[in-house]
Amino acid sequence: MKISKKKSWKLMRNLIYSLPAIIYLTIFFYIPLVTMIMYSFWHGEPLYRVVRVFTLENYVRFFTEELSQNVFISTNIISIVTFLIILLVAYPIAYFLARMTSGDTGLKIILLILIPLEMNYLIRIFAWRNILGENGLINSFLITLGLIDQPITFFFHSIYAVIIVVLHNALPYAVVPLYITIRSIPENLYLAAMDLGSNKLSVFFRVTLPLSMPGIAIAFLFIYIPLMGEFAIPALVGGKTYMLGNMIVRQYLTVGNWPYASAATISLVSITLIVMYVIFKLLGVRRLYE
Amino acid sequence: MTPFSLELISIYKNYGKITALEDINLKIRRGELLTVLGPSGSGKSTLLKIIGGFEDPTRGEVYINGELMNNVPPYRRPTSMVFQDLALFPHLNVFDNIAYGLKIRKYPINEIKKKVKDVAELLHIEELLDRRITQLSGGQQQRVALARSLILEPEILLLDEPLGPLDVKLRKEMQLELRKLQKNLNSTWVYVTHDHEEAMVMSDRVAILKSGRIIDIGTIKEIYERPKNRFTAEFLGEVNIIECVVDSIDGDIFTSTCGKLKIEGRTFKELKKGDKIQIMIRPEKVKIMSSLNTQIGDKNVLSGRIVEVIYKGAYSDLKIETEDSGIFTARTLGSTYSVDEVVFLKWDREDVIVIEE
Repeated sequence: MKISKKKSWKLMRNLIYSLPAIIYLTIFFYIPLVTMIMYSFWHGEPLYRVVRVFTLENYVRFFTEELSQNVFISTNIISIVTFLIILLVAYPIAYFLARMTSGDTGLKIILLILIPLEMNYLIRIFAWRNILGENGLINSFLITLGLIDQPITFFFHSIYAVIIVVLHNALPYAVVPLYITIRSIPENLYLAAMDLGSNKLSVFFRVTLPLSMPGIAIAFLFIYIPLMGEFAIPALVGGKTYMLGNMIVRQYLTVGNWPYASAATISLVSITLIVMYVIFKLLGVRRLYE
Repeated sequence: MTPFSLELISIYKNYGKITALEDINLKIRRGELLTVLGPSGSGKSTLLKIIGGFEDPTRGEVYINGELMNNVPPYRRPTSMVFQDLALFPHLNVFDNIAYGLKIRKYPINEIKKKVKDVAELLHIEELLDRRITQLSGGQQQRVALARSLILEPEILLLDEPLGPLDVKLRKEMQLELRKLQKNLNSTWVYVTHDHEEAMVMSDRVAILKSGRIIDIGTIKEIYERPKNRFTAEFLGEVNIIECVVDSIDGDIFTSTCGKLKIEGRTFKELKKGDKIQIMIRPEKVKIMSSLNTQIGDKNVLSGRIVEVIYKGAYSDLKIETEDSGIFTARTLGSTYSVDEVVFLKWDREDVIVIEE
């Protein structure tokens, strides 16, 4: 009796402690999510008309319609290619900071890398418009130098602009987890690998890179998941670039088909969850912390 | 072919203004197990790192098998190191950890399998080859680390306090097993430790390292019974050190006065009347008696009152307050003595050791 009383008190106490979080998440996360799930199974028509009958048509449409299929594929390609480019830039930075700097120098430089994040997201994107745009910094510079007569439009309002802006935005999200992971590899593992016959290149591919995988996985999720829902960057600098986020925003705000937009959103969330699971399994993230 | 696996010639290592190693000269014969014994911070690990190629000496030459090894990177040296924290690869299983060196050397897979199996049998870990490193106990990890190095048949195996984290019982078992293994393989090992008992069990020879210098070297018996200096004497176990002045010398027998105490002993070096010397007597060499038929004031005899009895199981150490030689330690197998008892102490002149400062 005594024990169960103690237990129920403990449960009460934990409940009380977590109450603020539960209330907050319920109002701002679970209710909207459940609402969206409900909407996704209703029949919808443009201009916000909703018929409350159960149907799977929205999901069927999202997965079978050519437009959404194409957008889904191109969004994935953009996200993965962008991630790989970011990785190529971020890994050397993180490696340098983790291995070549002593004390907390690396951490201080990381703070510098984080400073741009202090600025508002949209303002950062607009700043890039001023750099990449037709009358932007790069074009004026090249025209002043007399290298070109006409502004180059090649990299503005294009997928390249999207990749450049995403690279700038997402770089810290890749550098930080990579830095932490590389930093946590014990020095003696490198020495042991060298002792057993690995030269520096072999140490990198047999020890450093495999042990960086958790950081790479986390960087991937930090970059891939937001990109799956990204709409501001393609809208502002992407020109015709059309990503899943843009499609969903259009369905919600312009077309007004909430059930279809909800079904697309829920599908997206499910897919990213599956990707997360696969990534963690594949890269053996959990195994390393067993 | 030179009989020495390793020759270190006047090795110095400085980190900025700090001197980590000073004038290290060392020759290790093939098949020998040399223990480098010293307190922490004495430069033991630095010495291993220089042999292994992880650090360059500031000055001096490293020869392995008669070949100059300065500037040869670790991956081209015929040495292998068992690290203090073992440094097993957490992303590889036991088999892949052990096979690492052979894979780098591009051995055919069948040969790798056979060699891993052989070395695993040698170390009794053949059941564990599929396990992850995190699933092993401390002792098993030790064996994997050892197997990973031994499979490469290194000319010199370097061991940096590998038994540190094990509990006492397992450590003692491993000491004996390692020693046996080393003898069977007839390979050259340099074994670093701060534990003098470990050094006693394991070594052919022991080098005592203090503040970056080798201050004594020899078989464990040599340096235990005839330590060159006070540091070695005290590092290897309990000792009584007495300061004396030489009275007379007769051949290799000398007599000396140490306050009221007179000590007679044998010396192996030149002494002359009036020399101030330090004399060492090990507690186990002291005979304890309740009564005495010789006179106080005779040579090698002392009396005092027991102030402390330290029970150590197989033996007890008695701390005896003497009139003017301070606290004297004597060892007894029985436990019949008690505090405040007055006892007489006596020792043979063969057990009197003159040490250098």
